[in-house]
This record gives sequence, structure tokens and C-alpha cells, in this order.
Amino acid sequence: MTSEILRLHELYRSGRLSPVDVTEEHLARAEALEGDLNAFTLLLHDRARAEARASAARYMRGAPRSLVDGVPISVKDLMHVQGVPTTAGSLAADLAPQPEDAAIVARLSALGAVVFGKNNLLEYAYGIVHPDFGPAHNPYALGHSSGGSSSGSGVAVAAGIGFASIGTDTGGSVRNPATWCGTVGIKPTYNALPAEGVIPLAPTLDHVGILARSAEDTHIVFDALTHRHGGRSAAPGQPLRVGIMRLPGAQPAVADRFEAILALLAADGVELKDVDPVPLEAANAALITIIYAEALEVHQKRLASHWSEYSFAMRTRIMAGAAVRGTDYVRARAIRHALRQVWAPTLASLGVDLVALPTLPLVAPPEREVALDEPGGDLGKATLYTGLFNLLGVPAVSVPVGNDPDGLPIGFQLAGPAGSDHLVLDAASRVEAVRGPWTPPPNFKDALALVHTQAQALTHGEGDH
Amino acid sequence: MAPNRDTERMIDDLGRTLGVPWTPQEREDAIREARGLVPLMDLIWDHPLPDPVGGWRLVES
Repeated sequence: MTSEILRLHELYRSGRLSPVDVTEEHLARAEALEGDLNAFTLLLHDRARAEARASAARYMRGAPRSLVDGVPISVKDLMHVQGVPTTAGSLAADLAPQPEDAAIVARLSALGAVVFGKNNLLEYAYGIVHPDFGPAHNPYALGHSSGGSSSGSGVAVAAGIGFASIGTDTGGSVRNPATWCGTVGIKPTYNALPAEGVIPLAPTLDHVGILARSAEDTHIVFDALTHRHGGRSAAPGQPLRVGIMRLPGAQPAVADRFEAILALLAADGVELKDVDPVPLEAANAALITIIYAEALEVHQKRLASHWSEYSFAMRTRIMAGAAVRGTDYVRARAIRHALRQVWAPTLASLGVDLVALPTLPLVAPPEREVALDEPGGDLGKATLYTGLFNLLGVPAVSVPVGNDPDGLPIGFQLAGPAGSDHLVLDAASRVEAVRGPWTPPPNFKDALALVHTQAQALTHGEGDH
Repeated sequence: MAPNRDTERMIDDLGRTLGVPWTPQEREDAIREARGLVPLMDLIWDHPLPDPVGGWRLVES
């Protein structure tokens, strides 16, 4: 069993652990590590404790609401939480307490999860660290980037704070921090998870997603949030067929690890073939065009009234969207429409169920070198690997598969047709199985002590060695 | 066909419309970033699509 959440659920059911104690541990851990990590904008002590007490009472009655009942889960601070402001990682945000939860937050609470904190992020999810919020620091190397825009989500999950985090992904913003922080991250099919109450970046490309420490945990949270139980991929017994997308520009360590995992998958019976299903450069250009146009539309009114509260880089980036003409935007959407029409038939005609590629071409760079701020620069290179699946609205998951010589994590990405979320997540579990056990960030092993204690308690209790 | 763009004018027009109090450096950075977008947007005009006038219709679900 790789699932920490299943272990926790069984420990709760057996009465060996209480959601109240676990929540206190995770709140304390978040506070203790915040000075190093900067992973949170706010911890929700009162809400978390109330939800934990209610969860404990349900377990006492033998009536948990779901597998995530009592499980501490954080949310990116782009999502409204009742009674507290949504900072969006910007001083330009409305700091009045929100009147109600975002739909995804309400859904978590309805499932019994303990919503315990709001994660730091890049300003309005647009690729820029607001200097007043600062970067969330990568647990594998504190001076290296944690990616973004769901940076605090990746950092918290990687450091063992909470069991999952809910992020958003417009061009790669769940999979990017998942890769650089060594967690699993899924951007599901468009609208599979509700975006109401989440501040938009580019509404037709924004996806709500999940980060967790294993594919199985990610799958459990996804199943719970989509009210699925035990639904798994179709065609059991059929060999999985994966098309390999070989993109230019991957660092040697990334390319080598990608090839090593492919070899392990082939040895495990996965059918592999090289594919080139869509024109990636045009797809990436369409994605960037849509993001700049929609982000300008989203922000221009607030930009006029809160100019100086946005970061310098953010306000100039928003203004750059003025270069997108109406016809450019329509053309970009036409390309998206055309590619969406052919994506699933193309995979079928190629004889593959999914595609695989590195999640990102590079490992986490030093924070001072991060320049996710230029079209055609690092942002463009990163979205070339991840953004296609936002444009298509199809599920894509990143799985950590190794480390470079400096110990920085490397991600392996799988994507499929719209609606194939379960197949993608099952394939992610298969990648984990051939990869072997994952090593948490070395400097944060102490932070994982509780998880390990929980695991040991269950292992000893069940005799499952 | 990729349109001609007077990027500087487009940025300035928006700045005037919104009344933003930008500094010369901010304006220059916005123009520089916008100019970086132009080659990407040209790519979308190079990508072949069916002819709408010939009957292909953009209807997004």
C-alpha cells in the first residue's frame, strides 16, 4: 500500500489516531517550518480544529463521510475560503473576508476533509513572485525554485505538511511545482473539478488540480471530489499503450531518467511507440496568446484602480496583453478547437491510450535564475511541455521519477483523451511501481515523522510487512 | 496571414484607456514583453486551418 490517506483512514477507523491530534500535528508542523519554506499565506486554525472535531465525532459513530474524512488538505490561496480574504499572492487583492467557500473548498469540507491552510502562490497565478509574499522555497534545496504557480502547494505536500493540496493549472501550474518539489500532481479534464470561487487567470484554460505524495493518494482525493468510488480505467487485462513524445531541450539528467523509466515500463509490459500527434509549437503559441488576452481582460479594471499594488513585473505583463488583437485571439481559439477535435481520434489512429513526456525539460533552477517572465523564454519552454494539455482540456499527471546529480526531482508526465483521468492516474501508479520507493526531501525527514509513525502503527497492527 | 502590429501604439492605447500611472521603465518593459509575444502570435497564423469561408465553423463546446 502506497497510500498515506488510506493508512490514515484505517487508523482513524480503528481509533488508533484521531483527526484532532493529526490536525494539531500538521498545524504545528506548518508553523514550525514556515520560516524555512514560506509555503502558506494563512493557517486556518479555527476552521481546521472545528472540522477535525466534527470528523472525530463521525469516526466515533462509525460514520465517516469519505476516505478523506479527517485528512488535512490545504488549498492554494487563489480559492475563496469563507471568513478570510483571498490574497492571490498579491497586494492588489480584495482583502475583505470572503462570504462563502469556493465550490472546491466546500466540496472538500462536505467530504469531511480538514481544510487547514491557504498556500502561497505566484501572484494571481501568473508566473511572478510578488516581493511582499516572496517565493515558497523548495524543500529539496531551499535556494532553488519551487516552480509555480501552485508553489506553496508543492512545497507543503513535499515537506509532509498535510496530505494533499488543491492547486490550479492554466499552463502547467500544478505539474510544474509537483515536478520541482517531487510530488504527484494532476490537472484533470477541464471542469472535472469546479472552478467557481477560484480567482481566474485565463478562464477557458484554468483547471483545478490536486497535488499529493503518491498517485494513489491523488486518485483517492480525485475520486472523492468527483464522487466516484472505485472507478478505474477501462479494458482491464489489455496492455497499456503509450505514445512517447520526444521534445527538444531536455536537460541530460531529465532525458536520461525519462528513458530509464520508459525501459522499465517496457519491461513491465507497456507497449511503447514514438508519436508526434500535434504541432506543438502552434499549440503553445495558441495557449500563450489566449492566456495573455484573457488575463488582460480579467485584470484590466483592477489594474487601473490598484496599479501600484500589483508587482512591477505583473503590471507590465498584464499590459503586454494589449499586443493580442481580437483576430489573434479568435485564431488561437480556432486552433484550440481544431486540435481538440483531432486529439482523441489521433491517439486512437496511432494505437495509443496515453502519451508520455518529461513534465518539464529542466530541474528546479536557483531562485535567482528563475525567469518565468518572458514569452519564448523559460515560461515558453516550460509550457511547451505542459501547456498542450491545458489547451486540449485533457488530463495530465506528473509523477516524480528520480533526481539529478544534485538531488533535484525530475518529473514524468502522462496525458490522455478528455475523460481519461482514471486511466492517467492508474498509469501514474504504474510508473511509481516501476520507479520504486520515493525519497522525501532529506532535510525534512523529521517533518514526516508523524506520517511514518502512522504507517508503522498500521503496519504493526496489520502485520503487513 | 499574420497582421502587422504597431505594438508600441497598442500598449500606449491601453495605457491611456486605463489611465495607468506607469513609469517610463514600466512602459518600456510592457512593450518589450509584448514584442516577445509577436513571434509566437505569428506562429498561429502560420498554422493551417480549414477555411471558415469554405464552411469550417468554430463552435466550441
